[in-house]
Amino acid sequence: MTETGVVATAHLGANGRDGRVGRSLLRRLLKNRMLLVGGFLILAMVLGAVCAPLLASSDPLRQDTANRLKPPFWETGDLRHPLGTDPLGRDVWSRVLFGSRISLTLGLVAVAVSGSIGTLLGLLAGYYERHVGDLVMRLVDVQLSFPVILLAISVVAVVGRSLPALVAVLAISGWVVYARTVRGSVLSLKGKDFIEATRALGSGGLRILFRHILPNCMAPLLVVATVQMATMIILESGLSFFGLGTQPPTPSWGGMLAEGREYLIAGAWWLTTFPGLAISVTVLGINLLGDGLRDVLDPQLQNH
Amino acid sequence: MLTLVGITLFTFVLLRMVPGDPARLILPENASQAEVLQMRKLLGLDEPLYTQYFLYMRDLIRADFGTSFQYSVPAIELVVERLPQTIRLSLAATALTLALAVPAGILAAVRRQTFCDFGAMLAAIFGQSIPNFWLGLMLILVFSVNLPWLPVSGASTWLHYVLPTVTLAAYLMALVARLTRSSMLEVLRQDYVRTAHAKGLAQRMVLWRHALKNAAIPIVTVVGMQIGTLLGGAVVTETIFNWPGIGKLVIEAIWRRDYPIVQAVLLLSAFVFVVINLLVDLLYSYLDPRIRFQ
Repeated sequence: MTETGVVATAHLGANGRDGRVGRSLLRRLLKNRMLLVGGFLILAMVLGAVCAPLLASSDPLRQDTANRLKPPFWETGDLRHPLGTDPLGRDVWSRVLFGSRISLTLGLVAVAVSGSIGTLLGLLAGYYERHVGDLVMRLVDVQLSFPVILLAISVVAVVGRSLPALVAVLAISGWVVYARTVRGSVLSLKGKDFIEATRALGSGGLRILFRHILPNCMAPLLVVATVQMATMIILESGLSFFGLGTQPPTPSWGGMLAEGREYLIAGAWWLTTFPGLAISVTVLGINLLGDGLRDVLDPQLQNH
Repeated sequence: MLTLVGITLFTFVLLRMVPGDPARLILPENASQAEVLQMRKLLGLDEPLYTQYFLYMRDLIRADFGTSFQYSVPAIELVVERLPQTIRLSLAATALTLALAVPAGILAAVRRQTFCDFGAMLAAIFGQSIPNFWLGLMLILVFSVNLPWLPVSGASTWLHYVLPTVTLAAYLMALVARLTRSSMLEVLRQDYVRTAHAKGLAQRMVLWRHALKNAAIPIVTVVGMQIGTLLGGAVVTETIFNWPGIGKLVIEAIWRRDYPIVQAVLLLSAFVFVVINLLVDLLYSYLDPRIRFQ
């Protein structure tokens, strides 16, 4: 990253201390249309997840074989099942709503875990270039040469299906991106005068890393974390699609796709359309938010 | 090379940790304990792990990837047999990307801030947001179920290629279109592009000869890094469309704990990744003759 990038990040850090800088940043954030649309979509999804019990038309787990495979309400006129029912007579709308809880929570946890691991390794790899750096970058190379989904499937097949295992798999798949990004930032920051000055004042390596270098990596980190959230949600749904994610009968978007797939040819389109739409809208929102954030926070990476 | 060794070690240890005994999976359910032990001996599973790894590496150097537990033929034969289908599908997806996404990116950059630009970039961000496993299902729904135009599965005629190719290419197309646009915008501002215009070259010539060649380096780099994504996409696409390639093979092998096949495919995909990125490095010096290798 070059000067401008660092200056922009410094603004972010100064947010609390200097009201004017904070306000101008806020104004730039609000002016970005992608960011607004993305933020709105995410907000809607989060609200849907939080208020799922209020918005749901029935219990997502309740089976009702008398009303199985009902199409959405505009084909039946039945508002008790707005988006139809699945082969066990469970309400699709309610299952999509409750499914958002799994996807969003897992996405957040995975980003937090993989972000922490990746950032830590990236910091160390950038600062202690010779020893830690070589090792970490070698690991990154090894992992990058595997298709992520194949890696995830293999790992889940090994450790078995469980929530901690799922988080572990998602975290393992995600740390590489943070490590590379942070390492790059550290390498360019390391030679800067203010780091030299801190060192001259007698600060130790870890203090320099966490007090002085890390805050200056925050802008690219935030952007990467946003984009990774989208990747994690897709990966989680993908694993569930292969039957390796969340255990049934817990509703999850990917699991619903897998269950509905068999009924696709028979014409039960609503089983696969709505959960997939939910995944796509969520990911779209996050991608828009990420692009907007990048444009505002990191002018160096801007798409012009 | 060291990367490849790391990969062998990783896949080996990972897959040996899988709970479930492959010997029991092959034998009928009522097999006696003695039969299981004999089968384990036959498969080489009775040796300690490090011996197993040593034997595995020794065979690997002789291009022997081990024998499939399930089919009792060399794993490499199964992989080689299925490989052409995956390569064909990947090439079709790459061709589609080059034919559509690169021109779309150039158009968006040249007609910046117009309807073309907006439309192409909107399509791209949608393309990046739709997971391929859902896209595949929706394509089947529209073009095979509702409109009986295209086949759902199989790989015999060219019609069978349409849906899997689009499914596999969607993400790559979106990525390449966006990259091409931003990279072209960068290049179009350069003095040499203005010079080319000033000396009266046709727009077409300036774009394809002068601008695109210089804009290609970041595009090629990222595409090289995305080979893994393409292979992962092949796993998903082949599963959805019942495509007889290595993606489907490896998924089935994972379910059946057929380690040699999984290892062969993982190693092969890693090898492809390393080779392609080496080719990308070589391509740099063609695209920009100033880049030379020490």
